[in-house]
Amino acid sequence: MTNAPQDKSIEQRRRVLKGALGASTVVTLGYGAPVAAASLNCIAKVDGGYPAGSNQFFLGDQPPDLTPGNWAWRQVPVNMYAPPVVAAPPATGGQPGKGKGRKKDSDEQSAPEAASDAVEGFEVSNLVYSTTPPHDPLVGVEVQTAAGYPKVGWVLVYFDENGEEIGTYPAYTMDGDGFAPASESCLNSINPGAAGNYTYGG
Amino acid sequence: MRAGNGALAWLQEHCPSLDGQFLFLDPLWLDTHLLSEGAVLILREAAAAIDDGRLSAFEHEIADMGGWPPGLERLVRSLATLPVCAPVGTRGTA
Repeated sequence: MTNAPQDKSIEQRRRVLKGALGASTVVTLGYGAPVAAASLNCIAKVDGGYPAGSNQFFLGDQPPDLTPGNWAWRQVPVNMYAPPVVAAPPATGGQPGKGKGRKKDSDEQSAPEAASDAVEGFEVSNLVYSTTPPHDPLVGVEVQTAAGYPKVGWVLVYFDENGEEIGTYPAYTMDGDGFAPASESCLNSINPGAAGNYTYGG
Repeated sequence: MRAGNGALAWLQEHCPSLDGQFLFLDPLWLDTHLLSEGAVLILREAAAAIDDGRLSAFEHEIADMGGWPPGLERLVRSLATLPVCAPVGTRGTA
């Protein structure tokens, strides 16, 4: 009498297993993970589900939540930067690190806060990009001391078909060929030695 | 990166989903196999049985239901060679 629910659950399990047995197929591909990568490349197979567009940069202490994905991200520093240098005569009062060459400096105060015309940016491979979409490059800018900075940001990492990192957003996007974002499980399969170098998130 | 021992941990790490199918890396022979969802479900049940030391019972269960699908038993045998950190019981017969 008391076994009825358990019997029912055992019967359900048997039914599920039986269905699964009937729907089981195993196709042997070849030797080793590199072969798998070449013959059924999980990098090349990436066709969606990854962060796209401006979502490939994320501002926060950790990458986006693991749900819905577990893509590889790299940490980048986020700072305030003086705006791009404009075509103007050499500034007489400009000081390195304080926004050399900015257009407006008459109202500038000597507070340690970043200048009001400074912009927030993140640095990847010695290049600086605006944190504001579409993450355009900031040319000729310098880091400014500002309260609350540096912050932490994350960029999506791109890999070749062997699971080797080739670069990150924004220099790389899915617009190119031969590289793609990678999930943790994919990296573990084709390049397990590198999988520990990244932080994973959705 | 998650780490772990045992058959289920191996499946977690080395059986990624690819367009509705699964790519499985054999821990013993290091060859790779493309599995259907049904095969992965069976493999997962087998892995749990291995980790719990009740593979033999699971094999009998499979036999009662008509036996292993082609190719799957070998993968289960490979999983059974993985070291288990859980209590070691009977690991099934060879």
